[in-house]
Amino acid sequence: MDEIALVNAALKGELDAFNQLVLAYQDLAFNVAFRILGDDDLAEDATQNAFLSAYKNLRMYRGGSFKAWVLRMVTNACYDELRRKQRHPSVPIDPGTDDDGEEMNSDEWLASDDPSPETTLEQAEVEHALQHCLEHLSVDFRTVVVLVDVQGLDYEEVSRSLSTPLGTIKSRLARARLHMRDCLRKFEELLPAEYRLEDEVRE
Amino acid sequence: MKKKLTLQDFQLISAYLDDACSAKERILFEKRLQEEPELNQVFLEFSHTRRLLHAMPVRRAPRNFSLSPSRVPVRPRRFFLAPAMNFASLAAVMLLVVIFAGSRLFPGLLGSQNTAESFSPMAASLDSANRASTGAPMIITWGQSGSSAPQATTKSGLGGGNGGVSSSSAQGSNPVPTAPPTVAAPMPSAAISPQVTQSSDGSSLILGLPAAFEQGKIISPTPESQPLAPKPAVDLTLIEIILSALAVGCAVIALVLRKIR
Repeated sequence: MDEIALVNAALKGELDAFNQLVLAYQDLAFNVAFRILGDDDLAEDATQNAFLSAYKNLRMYRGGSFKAWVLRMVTNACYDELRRKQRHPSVPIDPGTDDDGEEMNSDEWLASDDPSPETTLEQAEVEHALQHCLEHLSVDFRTVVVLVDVQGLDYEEVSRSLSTPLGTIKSRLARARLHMRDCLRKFEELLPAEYRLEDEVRE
Repeated sequence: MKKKLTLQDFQLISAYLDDACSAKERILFEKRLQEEPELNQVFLEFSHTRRLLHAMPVRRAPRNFSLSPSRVPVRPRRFFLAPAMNFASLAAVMLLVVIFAGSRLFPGLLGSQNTAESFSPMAASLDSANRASTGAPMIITWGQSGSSAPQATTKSGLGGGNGGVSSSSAQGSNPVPTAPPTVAAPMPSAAISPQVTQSSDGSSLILGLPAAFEQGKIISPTPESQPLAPKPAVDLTLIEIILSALAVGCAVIALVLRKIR
């Protein structure tokens, strides 16, 4: 796929060309949005808004990694969604009561409590724990961790995507990993054996 | 004794895990890993955390996020003439403003003083004075015969050639009015001697003595004195009208091109 040719065609008004780019990056965009926002509906809105914004601002694209440029749109859309959520916090219709775990009051847990068929129970537990810890990070740290550790982008790509200096990315990532490590210690009993840390560290 | 790790140590661990440190840093770090168990423990914890995060399942897009034409604002087609029209309209307006300001507000700037001068009495009198000094007075021949009339013309108003009769006010340095003097109609009479009259504005008029066949005639100013009220070299009003039309025309064309999609 020649991204530059598709971008040029989209700039001439060919929506189909832009939609090819959307199809190529929509999974990445949605996954990043979901990991940052922790909510399917918000992630959908953010992803759709990101692609709309990308189309409207396509003239601002100055070459380079289109993936990084799309991710910038996605992260900006996520920040907008988070700000909107802070201004208008949503209240769960049925918050539910639990007897044993305070985390069950969290609507994030409820939202992701239904694992997809292909997801095993162990993976779901790990995912829940990780998502919970991610959402307890500040949004700047969370974004860097999602882009580097979840999506596997290198530092330069993340720096371009977030328009942030490389040194700041390194610093945020180190701090975020530190917070994640501390948070995951609370969930060690939930993790399967191969994901448990204590055996590796205390050997 | 446990050594407390700093933020730089955590950054170094992160960079080492992501293969983002230099070869020298890598060698030093590996050496420290052997020597410092605390550093080694944090390194393992970071590595584990990183592995967990990387193992998170990828959430696939729940639907197609392709944009439909109804949701997307139609991107306007760009005509190459549109920016040119915009520029032309802007340039015409700017030129119009400059010329208008130059001709109306600062008349001395654009050489339009000729136009203003032609309507200014003070300017006219100054011009007359200048003309008197350069030898082109208005001369009305009058009275007795003699051969001094042409001489009077060539003497630039120094007495009109009537036997040296002159007046101090008839000196060449005095201004001469451009308007005709308020004198009576020519009356051929030998009793009337040449005289210098004063016009209403204080300037002098030279009355010469014509030849017999020239008596009673009014000699019109010489061709050299014609540029009393010279026309401006360029009609600025016409330029203003043209520029206004150009600005409006270009703006209309640019608007029409913008509307066409």
